Amino acid sequence: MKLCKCLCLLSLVILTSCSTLMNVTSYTAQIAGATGLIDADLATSISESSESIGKAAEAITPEQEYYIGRAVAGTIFYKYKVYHAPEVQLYLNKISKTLVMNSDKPVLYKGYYVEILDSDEINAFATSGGHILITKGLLSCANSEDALAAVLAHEISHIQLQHSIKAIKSSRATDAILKTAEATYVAAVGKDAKLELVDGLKDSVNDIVTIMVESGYSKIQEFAADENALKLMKNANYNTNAMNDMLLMLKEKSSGQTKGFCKTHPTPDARMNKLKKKYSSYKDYQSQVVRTERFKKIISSL
Amino acid sequence: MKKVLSILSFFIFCIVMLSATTPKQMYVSIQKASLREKPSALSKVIQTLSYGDAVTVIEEKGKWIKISPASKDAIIGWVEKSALTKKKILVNGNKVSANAKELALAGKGFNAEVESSFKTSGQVNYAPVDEMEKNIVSQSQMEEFIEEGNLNGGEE
Repeated sequence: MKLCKCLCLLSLVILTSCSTLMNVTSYTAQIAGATGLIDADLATSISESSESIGKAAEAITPEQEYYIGRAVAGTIFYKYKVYHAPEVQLYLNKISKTLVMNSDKPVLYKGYYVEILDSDEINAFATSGGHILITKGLLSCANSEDALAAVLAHEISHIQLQHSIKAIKSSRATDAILKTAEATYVAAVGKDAKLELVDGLKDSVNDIVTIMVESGYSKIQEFAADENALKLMKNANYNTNAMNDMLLMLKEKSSGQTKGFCKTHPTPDARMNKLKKKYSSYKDYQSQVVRTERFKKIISSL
Repeated sequence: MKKVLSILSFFIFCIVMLSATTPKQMYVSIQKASLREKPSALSKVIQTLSYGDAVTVIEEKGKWIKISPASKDAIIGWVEKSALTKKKILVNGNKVSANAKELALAGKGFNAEVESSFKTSGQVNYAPVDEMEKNIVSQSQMEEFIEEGNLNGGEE
């Protein structure tokens, strides 16, 4: 009897631990509906939509993430022009590749690529397709290769933690992703099915770009990206303390600004406070000097 | 009580035996995956695998998996775990009935064709996206960069 009880308890623990954040939202909505806190129909709608958002992020394939990412990058490039600096771009690509090859997700459907945006605004965007777009304004805030690695590691973390995919909320978009994920979906799609997919892609891009450019990811997601960034830096042998240098520089340069990072990210103070005890000790200063020298040489061409 | 325990033990034994004898099959989930000689991002590439290729898992080591392509089992090498999926990917699949957790259809859903229609919406500029994706950093450039900066090369 005791054994049966133990098995039941174990099953319950396993089932409970499998409950994702998506389910928590869903259950909360159901309870709120049942207790009359919100309208019952609205509760059902929130419950269903939070379930599909969670499922979409879970079911999406790297190929689908890539095409959504390309569309998001294309939309950002409609708003921002490219700043042509091939040497700096190559340098940024090398730093990014070093960070990802030491991470748990070293490869994406096509890979990770960096481009510079011709803007003095302090900003950066990362798509699910591996496109990292960084403004000239943000590049000018970095004073070393390790600080630049901190910025890129933060953006790479948004990609690896699937933050942009989790920003997709509209039902047309999640339906399109879920339908695609189902193998029962007809391969030779008809005209209507194709239109549904185009609408789904439009809505996905709209949801993601609104978050990236207007409202920003949640504070929890930003702090998670910062923490993961420190892990990527440490694995690659960059000095994690350079993240603090970068945040100090952002604080100084963004004072009084209301656009870009200032609008979409928690304050540098809040981020520094959150990371306070997370930095690793670093002793390889000689290598850091070598990296800073090459940084100065390359960035001076910007 | 003893009977319940014996049945339970028997089932566990069967599961362990089955998983030990059945070779694990996985599929390439990215456009092109490099099969490397050693579990390191800077190790020599011995073959390139394509999206949907089936592989047989031999050994797992951290974020690396030792595999052999299902079509050429004489070749053995290492590939990043994140380049593989347990889902069977049908590259030329038509309508099939199966669970989404087990199957995926390559090139369906959001694809180049859907992208072409999306482009006509006007508020999008794909040219720089195509340009940035052409920037490939060679292995020798990466080796030099990592060595000069005393950085890590993704070895397990």
